[in-house]
Amino acid sequence: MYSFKARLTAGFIFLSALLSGCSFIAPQTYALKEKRPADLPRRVELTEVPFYPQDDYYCGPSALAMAVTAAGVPVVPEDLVDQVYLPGRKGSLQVEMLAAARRRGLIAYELAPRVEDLLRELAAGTPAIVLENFGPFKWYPIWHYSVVVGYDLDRLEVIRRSGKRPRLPTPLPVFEKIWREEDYWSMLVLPPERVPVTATETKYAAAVVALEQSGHLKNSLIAYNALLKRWPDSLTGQMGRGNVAYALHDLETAEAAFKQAAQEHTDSAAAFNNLANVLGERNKLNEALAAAEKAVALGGPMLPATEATLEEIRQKIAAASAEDALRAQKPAVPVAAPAPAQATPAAKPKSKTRKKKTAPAA
Amino acid sequence: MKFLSKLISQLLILSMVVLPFSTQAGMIGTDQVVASATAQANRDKVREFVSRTDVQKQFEALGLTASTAAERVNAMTQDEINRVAGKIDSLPAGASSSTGWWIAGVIVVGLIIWYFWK
Repeated sequence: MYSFKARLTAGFIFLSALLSGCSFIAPQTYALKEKRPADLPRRVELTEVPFYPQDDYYCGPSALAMAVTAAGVPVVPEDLVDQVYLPGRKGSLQVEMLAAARRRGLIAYELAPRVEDLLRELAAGTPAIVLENFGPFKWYPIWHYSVVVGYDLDRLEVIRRSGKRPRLPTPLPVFEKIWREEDYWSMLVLPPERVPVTATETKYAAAVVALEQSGHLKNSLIAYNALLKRWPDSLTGQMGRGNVAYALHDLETAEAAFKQAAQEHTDSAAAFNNLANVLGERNKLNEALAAAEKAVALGGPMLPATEATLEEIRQKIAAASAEDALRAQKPAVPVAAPAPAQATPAAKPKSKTRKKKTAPAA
Repeated sequence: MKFLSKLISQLLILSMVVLPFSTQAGMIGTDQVVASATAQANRDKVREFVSRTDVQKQFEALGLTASTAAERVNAMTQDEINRVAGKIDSLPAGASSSTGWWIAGVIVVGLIIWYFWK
């Protein structure tokens, strides 16, 4: 049995350790205090980020509504309840917060688990949704989303919009403690033209691909262009630009994008495969054949797809030469116009039936 | 329950029969470019399908309608689905109501009292 006084002293030391950002409770704050990054502004507050007070359990929709609105798409929390709130859990999952941001045509980006990165994004003008855990014990977690909108390095605090409080300055060590409990998880919601300052190419590319898959093609094209502006030789950026242009029926842009990808990434079977497809559709069959052959020669996990492309191009070439032969056979026919018009519809279904037969074999 | 497992197994059989032949000539998606070579090789369509239905089922069990559950699963990437499949019950779900705060407060105060005066 320790004396009451000793326990009180221990408690006091723990609290002061927490508040001073001691290395074992809030290691990153401690490091920041020891060595402040010179290029980081001392004080930032994004006052333009709106505030939506949270109703019981709805901190997910509220936090998301603030971030989505700040990114330029006005929404209210009620709009998002159906997209992120899980009644049985009385809360919102992280992955659904990401998915719901994408459903609004925005980029959802998970930050690296670093206090400094969070501050850098704030300095660049982007608020962050953070997941905190106030639970006193591991077996009694109290998870909560809030939006960090600013910081003050002199006072060593962050400014949060949380629950019913639109502006809640929180000591940085305390914030780090509750944030650290969930592995420093935070996400940004960004308009498609803006790349996070702390982003890595791989992670940002994955975020844009996810947006493309969500069906927001025009916005993902903007984001791919932003990605290429930051990382000009990104294969994902070049391929993404080509794929989205293709999906938007802009074959010219698609061809240019895949050409660039194939030239700069000579080992990418996907680049040559897609280039071959676009060239084939634009009836540049010789070029398409060369690209498809190169794609197959590169092998790799996409071989079934590249082989199928090559087969299709070969059939197209065969159909085209058959057409030419047909035309050559009847040079004397004075009415030339109907002949090719007849030949084209005849050739098309022919190649289609052939493709169906050969596909399983490939 | 029996009906459900029957349905799932039938869907599985269908997917196993159909999926191997679904590779066709055409464009390779950007997502496949991103996935690393090993991830490509490990990609198991059947497993992906299972985790997808699993998440959807869990969503329904947690109070979503079938159509909302499907819509929300569709909004997730395969990586995200893999991240949550099978553990939706235990993953963090940000909520923090005022009731939660009260309970936490009572627990903390109770423990302090117990700690000092036991």
